Amino acid sequence: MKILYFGMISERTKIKSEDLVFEPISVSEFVLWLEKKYDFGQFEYKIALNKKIIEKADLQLITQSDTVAVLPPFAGG
Amino acid sequence: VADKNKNMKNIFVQGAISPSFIADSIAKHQSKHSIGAHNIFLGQVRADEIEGKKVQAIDFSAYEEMANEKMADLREQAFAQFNLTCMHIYHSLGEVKAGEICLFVFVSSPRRKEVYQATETLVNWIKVELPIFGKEKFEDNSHQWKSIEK
Repeated sequence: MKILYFGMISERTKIKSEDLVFEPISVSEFVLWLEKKYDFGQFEYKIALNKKIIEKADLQLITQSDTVAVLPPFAGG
Repeated sequence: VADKNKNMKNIFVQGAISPSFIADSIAKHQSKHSIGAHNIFLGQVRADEIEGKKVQAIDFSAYEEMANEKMADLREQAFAQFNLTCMHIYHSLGEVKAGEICLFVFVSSPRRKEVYQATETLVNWIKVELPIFGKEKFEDNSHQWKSIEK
């Protein structure tokens, strides 16, 4: 799967994207993995699965061809 | 999916949106004679002062594909909700200095009443729904991340 990091989040991860080989995992498992790897702590963020915002607790499976984005607070305009 | 791609436009422009670009956009509507009212919203980078330091510029970044896809949905929603002839939306990417324009929303309709509501609604949607991020840069090269909650 492809993971994209933006804004404040990419400052924390020090990379803008990464490609990972995973067995299919649920969104909520992915969020746990992410928190553990990057220790986001108090950072506020949303998850988008294939460009659609999805609840962090969602049980939908993420598969190898999916793109997941980690999005900090929006600040357009 | 094919339909969506057809309606999808790229809202992003590199750097500040120039006054001449805005003027040209207005001029392009002179041949559309069903229009009776235009309304324009311009977002300008404000030199906020935070703990004694002034914002010099905002460096904008975005999840462009998602933002453009979402904007295509919002555009459709706006056309369904308001009686509009056309709608043009542009947002900056990269550095925009204090005093320069970073958002340009331009709606046109046969009549006046609809354009005010449409502009207000669109600007609110853009701020809340589009994955756009802003790094506020100060004169001493430090920065902080902009948030719409402020």
